[in-house]
Amino acid sequence: MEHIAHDETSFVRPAEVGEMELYHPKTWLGKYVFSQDAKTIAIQYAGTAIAIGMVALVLSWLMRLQLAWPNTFTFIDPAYYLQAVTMHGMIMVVYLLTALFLGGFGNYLIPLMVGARDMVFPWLNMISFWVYFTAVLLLAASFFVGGGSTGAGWTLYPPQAILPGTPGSKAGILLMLASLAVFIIGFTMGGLNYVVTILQARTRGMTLMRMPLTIWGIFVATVLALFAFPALFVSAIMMSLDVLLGTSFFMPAIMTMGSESEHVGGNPLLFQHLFWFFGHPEVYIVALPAFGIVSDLISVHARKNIFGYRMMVWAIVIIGALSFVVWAHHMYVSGMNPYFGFFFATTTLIIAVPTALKVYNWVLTLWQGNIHLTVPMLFSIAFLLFFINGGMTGLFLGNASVSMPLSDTLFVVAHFHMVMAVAPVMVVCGAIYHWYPKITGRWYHEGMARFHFWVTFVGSYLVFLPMHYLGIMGVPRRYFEITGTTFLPDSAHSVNASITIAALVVGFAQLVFLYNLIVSAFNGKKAPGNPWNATTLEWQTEHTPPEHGNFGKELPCVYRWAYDYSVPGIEDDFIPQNVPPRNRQTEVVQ
Amino acid sequence: MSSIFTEQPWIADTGPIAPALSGSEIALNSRRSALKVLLSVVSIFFLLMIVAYGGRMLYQDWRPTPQINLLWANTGMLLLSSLCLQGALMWAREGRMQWVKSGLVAAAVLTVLFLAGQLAAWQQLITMVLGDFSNPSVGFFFMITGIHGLHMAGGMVALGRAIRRAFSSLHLSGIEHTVANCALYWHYLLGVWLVVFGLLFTGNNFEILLRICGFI
Amino acid sequence: MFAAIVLLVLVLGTVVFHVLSPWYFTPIASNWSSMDNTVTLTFAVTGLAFVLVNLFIAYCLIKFRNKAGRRAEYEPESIKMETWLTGLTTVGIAAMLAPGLLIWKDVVTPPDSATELEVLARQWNWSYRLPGEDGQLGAVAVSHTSEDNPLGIDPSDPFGQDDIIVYDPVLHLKVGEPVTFLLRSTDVLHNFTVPQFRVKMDFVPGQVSYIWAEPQEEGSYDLLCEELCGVGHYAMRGRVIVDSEEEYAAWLAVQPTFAETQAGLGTDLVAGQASYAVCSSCHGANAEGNKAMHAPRLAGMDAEYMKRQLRHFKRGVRGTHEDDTWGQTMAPMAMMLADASAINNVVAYIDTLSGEADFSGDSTYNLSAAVERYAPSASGDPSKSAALYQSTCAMCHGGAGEGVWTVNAPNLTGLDDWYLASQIKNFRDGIRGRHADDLYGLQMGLVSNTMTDDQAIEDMVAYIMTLESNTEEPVQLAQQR
Repeated sequence: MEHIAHDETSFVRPAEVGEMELYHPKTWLGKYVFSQDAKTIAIQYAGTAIAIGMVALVLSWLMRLQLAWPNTFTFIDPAYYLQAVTMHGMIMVVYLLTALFLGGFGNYLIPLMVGARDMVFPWLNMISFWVYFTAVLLLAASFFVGGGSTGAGWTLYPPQAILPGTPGSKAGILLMLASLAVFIIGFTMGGLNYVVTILQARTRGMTLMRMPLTIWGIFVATVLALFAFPALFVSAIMMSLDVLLGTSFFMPAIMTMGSESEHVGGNPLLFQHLFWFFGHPEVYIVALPAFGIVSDLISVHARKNIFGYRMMVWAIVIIGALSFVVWAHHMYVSGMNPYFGFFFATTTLIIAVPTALKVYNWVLTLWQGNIHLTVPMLFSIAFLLFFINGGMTGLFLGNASVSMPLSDTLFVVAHFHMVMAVAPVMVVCGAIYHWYPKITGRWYHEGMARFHFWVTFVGSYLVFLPMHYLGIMGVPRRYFEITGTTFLPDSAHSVNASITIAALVVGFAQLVFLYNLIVSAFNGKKAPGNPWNATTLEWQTEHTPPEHGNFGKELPCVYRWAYDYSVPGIEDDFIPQNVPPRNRQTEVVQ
Repeated sequence: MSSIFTEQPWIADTGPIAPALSGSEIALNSRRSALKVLLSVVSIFFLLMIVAYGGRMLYQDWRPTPQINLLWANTGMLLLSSLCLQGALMWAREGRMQWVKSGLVAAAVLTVLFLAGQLAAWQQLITMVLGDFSNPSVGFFFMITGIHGLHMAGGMVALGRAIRRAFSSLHLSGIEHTVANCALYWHYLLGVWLVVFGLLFTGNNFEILLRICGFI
Repeated sequence: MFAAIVLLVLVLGTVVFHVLSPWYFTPIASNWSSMDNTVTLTFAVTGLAFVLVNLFIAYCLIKFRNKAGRRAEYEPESIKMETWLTGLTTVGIAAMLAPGLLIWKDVVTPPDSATELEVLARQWNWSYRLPGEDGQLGAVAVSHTSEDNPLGIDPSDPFGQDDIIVYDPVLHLKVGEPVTFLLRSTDVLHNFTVPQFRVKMDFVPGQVSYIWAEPQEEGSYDLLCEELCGVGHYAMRGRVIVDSEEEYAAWLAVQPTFAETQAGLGTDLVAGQASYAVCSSCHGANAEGNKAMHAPRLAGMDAEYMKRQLRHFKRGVRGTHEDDTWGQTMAPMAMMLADASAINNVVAYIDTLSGEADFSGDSTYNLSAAVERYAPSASGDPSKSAALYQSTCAMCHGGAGEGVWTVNAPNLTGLDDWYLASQIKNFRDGIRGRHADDLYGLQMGLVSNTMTDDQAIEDMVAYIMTLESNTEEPVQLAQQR
């Protein structure tokens, strides 16, 4: 292989076009609908996820209205409420956050950030989106079938999920299971792509330890998802068979609505173990990409390298690995053998150590930084507050005996919304603002963005902080209403009302956000290629937005890590990853 | 890879840099990697079902599925098809195209026979238990064999493409890798089948299974 | 600057809120104050970390914010500092984990002195079983469960004969005596939670789980289901009353054994007929009811339901609310029934009655009188309430209003529409079903709240009337005459 210089300081041969056989679309349909360009697929994923996420947001408003002013809204009956609870949870966790982080950010950022022209299997990538889209359609269809969507809670615990006392116990639950199975198939296609692209298609010089933490987060999360989703898949199949064939995987002998069922000998706890073997890694599937992205946002906008990069990488890997041995901390009061509690409480609290280290390193990155309070930075700070708060309450719930008075109450709801709903959503918002100039080539409207930030930040805190205390008082979760008790003061109901008002305001701010995103894509100010002076490869593309193939004629060659900010002795406060050092040796190996 | 532990990533690259892989090399490596990742996902999938099966066995009322002798014959079919693919791979490396073609076709035929045999085994079991789906072991049998069968059927798509390629192209370049991937997939699913069949559906392997699943 | 101030306000506001707000644990009533203590400890450790880290962030935001000429420092990592921080965190976490595990050991090992009792949870009610004199609970199975043997006790098991059956959502416990609750469900997952006891545990059908506690404060406590169990989840309420030793003994003495509940099935219709003589003056000779007297038709009413209501009237659980005029009329009537067997007899007799108005001896009877007494008066639109009925009411009362005995929900068919409407309104307005011991009434009260105005109730009654229309018969009969 022969090598020629591509500039005065480098003697590395530039890559030629056609290193990866890309299918360049020739029709409108091929360009915008069945596109094989990861960037288009990313936008499709994100758009679909946000669209179905808006449905879940509206469902949460309905729930909040009922909780604040029970028996005021005639159209919300107990069944409807449970359906809203279920669909809100499932959509937000799986169809919004998982799809948005991995399908959306993963697709957009992986090829760009590792210096590849596209995913390694572009066609599979396209199919992956359409399978996901089908899963969303199936899910949405369950709202309209007889009996409505399932109301079994997002955990879909049997036996109640498939018994008549629960809404949607026939068509609703089957459609939900089918949708999940389809989602998992689609995700597996996408996940293989992400993993293999990161492993095989990194550009020259992009060693694993030079990858931006965003990629590390998405990579480990994808591996977790690939290994965790089979558990959900298996349980979905088993539950479907229990419904359709009358098998007894999860169904013991029971008497329902006054008559004996034909099932015998099944074990409902088996489902819970399978579900949480998926469900706990799922938390990290959402959290790890957020960890990665926020690391990069903080670093870029504080003009400082991420502190302790190596520890950050290993913390992500260790958290990912440990997340497979903590699942039964969701089951301390499930009726499983209580002796498991010792093991799972210990592993759960161990996982707090690498997580805490990550927090320290984010915070230490701010120390001696040059902090620009841009919108992405503001959202990163908000993430820190929510994540620290939610992480702390996790220490209550992970510790078996401490969790006992709190489990199944609104404390749990407040905890997981802090830690895996609001915190990752802060990162999502920050990341969208951060990459918006690259994706659209235009600026978002700064005023609207700041309005969106302040309302969301303060509002979300006002929603979820008081909710913890309702839980401590003993208000159970998934209750249609909680009148008629002797232990709750009337003031508890006014807390509920104020939470609802805050939630509605926060919800409204999201509409401003969407409006800003859509309108600015057409009317925004033109943005330069690297507006934040960032180092990573996606900012070094020839065109903004990048064309299909990402990097023009030459794939970039990477000489340094992604965090060369404010390097001493250099005038600029950043050095892109593809800028070679001055003292580079000139010979090249074969 | 050891450098991943010792590398100090903030030090910029001043040394020589490795040459780029060509696009076709990336694609080649990618397919193999993707297959390996896929197989590890599939492993988790089957492992979970086996653990669930073992957990269910612990209950007092456990009744194993009736023995179906046909399964032994099916196992033989699958073993043979795996061998055929191994042969095809060997011949592909030696460049003996005719033999490759026959190996691939034989493997496909044997796999179809295996799947047909599994369906026949289902028929037999249905007549044996007749509606006794409430016996968990029967449920597990249908589920696990069904999912294994679906994986084999999915593999047939890839095998079919390999056959089409073997018959259409005049030269061998690249087919070796396709055959190698098919062979890996077949060997792997044969292994899964042997574990599943040996552990769950023959004789009395309670002890071994419970030990493996960590219940005793 | 602004961002740092907002952050400081939120963080310090959190601390102030925690310290000053009135919202915290309910006063503890069991031995598990150790749990409260570890919660306090965890609040202290995590609260300190929360405040320190956030103060640090706020400080950085102020001190290191971008200014002209400012440049960040370059510092890739500091293994030493990271090791220190990791070590400190580990110590803090161990300090929370260790006491947590010790208490967990107490949770999983009930003391030897603990007495056992069984809690049976079922959509959406509670019942209990205490071991009798032999100190052992008899065998149970779903297949033995029936309306006459609601707890599903194996009739052939000698240990089960003396088991004490509490087929009511109110449980009494003796103060200072540790109890292991054996939790059994026959349908779906449920959860046993008394907030003041702190501990809780799920019920799993097909197995028996357990939890133990020692009640230490006398009083009456709400029992909640905290594992989603279907539409009625939020209305699945029970009550645990912690009694002094004497009160407990008095309560226990009147609870029937399993053998007694089975023996009590024989009934004396003659005695029942004698008792009914009083009833007939309002409810009619054939239990056909009389709207003018506000006496509902009793024929076709669920037998278990009537027994429960008669007991409630007798005990002052129903018919004591000051606005419940008609209930106050009924209460002294129920007092005339001496005991459980008298109630049994009269209900058995009512069961034999046709419910058809007998006009033969009544010369004044004519169409207008029939209309006044029996005609349906509901003026609702059934189509408006069909959806609510099927999604909510049907869960307990059945899709055709036939009633479901496991839910303890009576049939709704064959009842007078005016009576249904008046009772639903009573439930909704808290005139009926708010006595502390009337948990089924509370359940119905909570559910009737879904009908937000009187018209919704009229619509609902109109729908129920479409399920089966018996109440028109007297009018038709009069027309035929």
